Amino acid sequence: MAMTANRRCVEQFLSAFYSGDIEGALACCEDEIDFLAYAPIDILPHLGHRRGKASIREMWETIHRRYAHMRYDLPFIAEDGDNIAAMIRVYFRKSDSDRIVQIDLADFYRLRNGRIAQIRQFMDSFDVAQQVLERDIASMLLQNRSK
Amino acid sequence: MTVQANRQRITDFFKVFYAMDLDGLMAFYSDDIDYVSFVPVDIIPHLGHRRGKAQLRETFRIIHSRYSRMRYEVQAMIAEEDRVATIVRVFFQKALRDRIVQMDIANFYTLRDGLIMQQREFLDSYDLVQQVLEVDIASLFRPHQ
Repeated sequence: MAMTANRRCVEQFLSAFYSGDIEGALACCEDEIDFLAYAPIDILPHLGHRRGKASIREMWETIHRRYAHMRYDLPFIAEDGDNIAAMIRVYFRKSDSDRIVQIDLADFYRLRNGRIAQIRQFMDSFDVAQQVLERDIASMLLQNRSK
Repeated sequence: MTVQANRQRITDFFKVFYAMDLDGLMAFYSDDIDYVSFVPVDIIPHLGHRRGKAQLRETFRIIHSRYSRMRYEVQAMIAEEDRVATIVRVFFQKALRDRIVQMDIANFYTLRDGLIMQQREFLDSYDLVQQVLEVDIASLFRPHQ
């Protein structure tokens, strides 16, 4: 089956974003793009809710500064009209320590006129916080509860 | 099964799951179900990776024992071939007290002959831990007053 324009847009977006081509990724998005990552903004302040290309460019520049290299696999993608859901396994190499951060993401895209108008992003945010902070938060919580 | 049939299966599955009908919901799974909920298993040990109906049934039994009532709103459902992805906003009332746990949950289902054979579940696990333990995790990193 031939790839639809919407799926081609999302796959181009992912390819551009994870190769570090922020402008290429933004070109796949509407000017008023609405982005929401379900993540703790007190730990990951560059995530949360963003609206518009300028705000999203700033967020993605922050991410790409922190990670020297990114790659991804796409184990699940489904398309239904103007909606696409993708499960993405991402490998980030930290710029300052060479450590690899591996996370699975759930992205939900809504497209309008062939461009991405909305992104909803889910992740194991507890694990991401631990990997970013390089702290065992679970042990800290369990110790705190046993006091 | 058609895409429409798979969509209807997941719609029916939600009704049974959130009505807390354990026997009913297990009928939607294949015997070799492969289930992963991406959460910290040292804090929430009944989630994580489960394989087979017996393990999954125990997971859902524990979840249902902790909440006295559940309701849900489907925010998105995307179906293609044997795959269905959903976002559901859930409201769980804790069994031991009147607090409500509210969160948005993303699920990716792969079906075979109308049965769920693989499920991958994503949620804001940091927020879930805070709501379940009733703690402010960020406070652990602030200097003591």
